[in-house]
Amino acid sequence: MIKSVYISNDIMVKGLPATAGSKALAGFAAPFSATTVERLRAAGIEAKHTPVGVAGFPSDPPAVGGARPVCDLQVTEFSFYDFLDDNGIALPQDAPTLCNDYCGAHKFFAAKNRMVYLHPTYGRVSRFGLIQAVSSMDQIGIAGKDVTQVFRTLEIISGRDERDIATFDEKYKIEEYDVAEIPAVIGSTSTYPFLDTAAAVHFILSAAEFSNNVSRYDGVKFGCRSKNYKSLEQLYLNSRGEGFGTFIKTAVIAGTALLSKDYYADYYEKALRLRRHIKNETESLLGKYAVIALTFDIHKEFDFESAGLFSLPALTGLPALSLYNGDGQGLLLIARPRAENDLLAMALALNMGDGEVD
Amino acid sequence: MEYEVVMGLEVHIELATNSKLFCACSAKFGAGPNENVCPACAGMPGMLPVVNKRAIELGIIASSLLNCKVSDRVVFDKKNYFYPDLSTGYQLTQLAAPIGTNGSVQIETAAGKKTITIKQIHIEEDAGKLVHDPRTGSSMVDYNRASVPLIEIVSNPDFRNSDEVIAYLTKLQGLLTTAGVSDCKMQEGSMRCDVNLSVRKKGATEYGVRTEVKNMSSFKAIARAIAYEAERHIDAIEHKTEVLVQETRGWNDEDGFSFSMRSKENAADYRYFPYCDSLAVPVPAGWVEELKNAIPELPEEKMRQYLFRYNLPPGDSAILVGNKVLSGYFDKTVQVFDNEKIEVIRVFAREIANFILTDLLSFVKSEGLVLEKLIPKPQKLAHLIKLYKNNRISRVTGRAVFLEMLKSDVDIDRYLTENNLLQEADFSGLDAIIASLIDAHFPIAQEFKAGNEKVLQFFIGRIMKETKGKADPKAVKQKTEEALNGL
Ligand SMILES: [Zn+2]
Repeated sequence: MIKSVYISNDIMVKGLPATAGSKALAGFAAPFSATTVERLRAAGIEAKHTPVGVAGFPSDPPAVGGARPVCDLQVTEFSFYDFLDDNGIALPQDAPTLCNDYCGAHKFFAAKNRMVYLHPTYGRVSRFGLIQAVSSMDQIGIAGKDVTQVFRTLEIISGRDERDIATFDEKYKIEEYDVAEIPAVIGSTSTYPFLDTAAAVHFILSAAEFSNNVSRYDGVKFGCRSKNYKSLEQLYLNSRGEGFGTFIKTAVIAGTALLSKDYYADYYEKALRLRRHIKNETESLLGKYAVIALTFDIHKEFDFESAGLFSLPALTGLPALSLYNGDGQGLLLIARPRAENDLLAMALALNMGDGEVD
Repeated sequence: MEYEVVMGLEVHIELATNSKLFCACSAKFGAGPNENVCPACAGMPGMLPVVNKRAIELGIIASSLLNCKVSDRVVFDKKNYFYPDLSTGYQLTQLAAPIGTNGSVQIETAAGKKTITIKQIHIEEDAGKLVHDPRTGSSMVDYNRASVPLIEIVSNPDFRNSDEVIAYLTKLQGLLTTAGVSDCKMQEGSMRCDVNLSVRKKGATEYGVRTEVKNMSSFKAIARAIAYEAERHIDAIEHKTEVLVQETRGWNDEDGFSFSMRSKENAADYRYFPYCDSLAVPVPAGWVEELKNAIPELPEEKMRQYLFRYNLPPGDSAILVGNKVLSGYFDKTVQVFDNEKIEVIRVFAREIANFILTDLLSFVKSEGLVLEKLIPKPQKLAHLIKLYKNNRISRVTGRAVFLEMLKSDVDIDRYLTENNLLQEADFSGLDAIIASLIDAHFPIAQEFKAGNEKVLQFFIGRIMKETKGKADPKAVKQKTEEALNGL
């Protein structure tokens, strides 16, 4: 039985601080609760904020109220490099955690910590009450130690929500079946051809959407307001300058440039086309195979290739599960739309339920 | 040198929905500051837009009315600009796939008929409003209008004079109000018009430098702004009074001049980009067909006739056209004047519309009777209106008699005589009565020249009493004034 679920601080719980880990939102209390939180509570489950570490907008300086920067990004030739401190993302071990892994790092660190991260099909879970970061990739996922609990949590939070028109009617229901019933599965990272492209596409699209979504944080209506201003313009500039960390500043500057008349056609539009291409190619692979399994080295740093690999679920909207497969090897499983149960069968077959230690 | 003015219009129309475009807040005009605001339209994080289906339907209806090709899906784009009246920092609008494209509309002016072509119609959300308080130097923002649905109707540069512009706007008002798309009230901002204007030598094929003028709040202001801009452009070309630049200009109607708001060099880069596909709403052909069929019959020809032949106001025309009984009654009554000159017909048409839309409708409303059953013969209404326009009866008498006619089949002339209600323009002995009253109140009469204007009213009252109300009030006023001035 699930008694409680952790909620990262970019998912709103009415009355509690909703900072998304950013100083720009310091002092902002959620005016309402997210649909996912309401559903957990309706099922008698306690929804509480994560202690530290799982933030929506990684930010420095740290936000008031806890979360420290976990994932800062640098731009090198139009790509994101996540650079994280040694501990990476500290996901809680004792209960499932809801969070929005649009940048992919949660998936990597879940596997590194012998946990799983479930990225549901786009539209499976309502995003109402999730502080938007990259609208076309935002998706509430579930991290946890116990694979069955993770999928149980999805049962509770999934389903149609009038307040998020992307959600579909069908509620997720666990069905356990033998992995032998699932058709062929293909191999490793090296056989998957789009990872470099995916990293660049992911950077361009997410920077652009990020710059747009954070433009409302101007220091006037809510969040951090600089004490240092003499004019309205200074209030805007200094509040944003002090409130945003390197990650957001990078995204705002890059995203604004990429959407400008000068660069739109060469970068943004091309990235949109490539995203469609990646989605089509991935789906045609999934025509032949029920699950694509891509391996990764959990001891490697989170680099450009990792960024491409872990961006695939967000870019395609396909359901995915990352897990630890022993011998220092992680596995990212991608399945057909709405086929989360194939992921569950694979995970159980790989003994993920035991919390096996390397 | 002869010049030609070339204009294209961008008309914003607020859609007549109950709620806003992306949230459930009321879209009604006139609420107190920030009364119609929720976390979504206030731009709070964590909210997602939920499209108002009715707004899309009204967009489809408008596109159909203006003969546009209707898009097979509704998608939105984000337009970025940072301004305090925009709660999210971006506006949701349609750039890549407008709801309607390639339309046209027929207009008619004194010069004849003409087709204006429409480039596109797109749906978008309105922004909030800033209220500046000069006493405290503070500014406040009211988000009631934030996310209220609009359509923008973009025409091609087909207009050559302000008559055509006004005829087009009037036509839009007629079509869109009758179909229930919008109430098209310029004074409340539910219809706003920006004019793109350039001037070139007659016969030239290249366009001149283009300026955009905005902030006109009436048809008259639009005509004045066009006249001013055209003259400014011609002066600049002819006399080199200034160098024309492509820019957006505001219109100050009080003092009658346009002023620069921002030039092309300073034009914002709106960084448009498509909003995620999750918002795409399919528009199946069947839906468009269904909406088209539900549009109340638009007697195009009749609307045109009311607006242009009779010069009736668009609102009045729309009500008449929208009700077959009323328009039938109006038509029959106005026919009585068929042999008159058009100017005379227009005067009578206006009065007939007045009698029908104020007296008849209020009677029907208060008495709750069936309209079809109680209407007096059109000839009789025409006769009554003739009496009024010839100053034989006052408007008040006219109303009273008309109400009587609605109740029973009265003989108008007999009724007026019996009740002693006729005025006499050449009331015999009016001069004598005025003279004797001035004599009787000579000290008071003298105060008129000293500047006491109340004196005139004093005498008019006495005279009307003396003539038992049968003298034409206009004649009484005029003659009394003359007599007092002549003292
Ligand atoms: Zn609202």
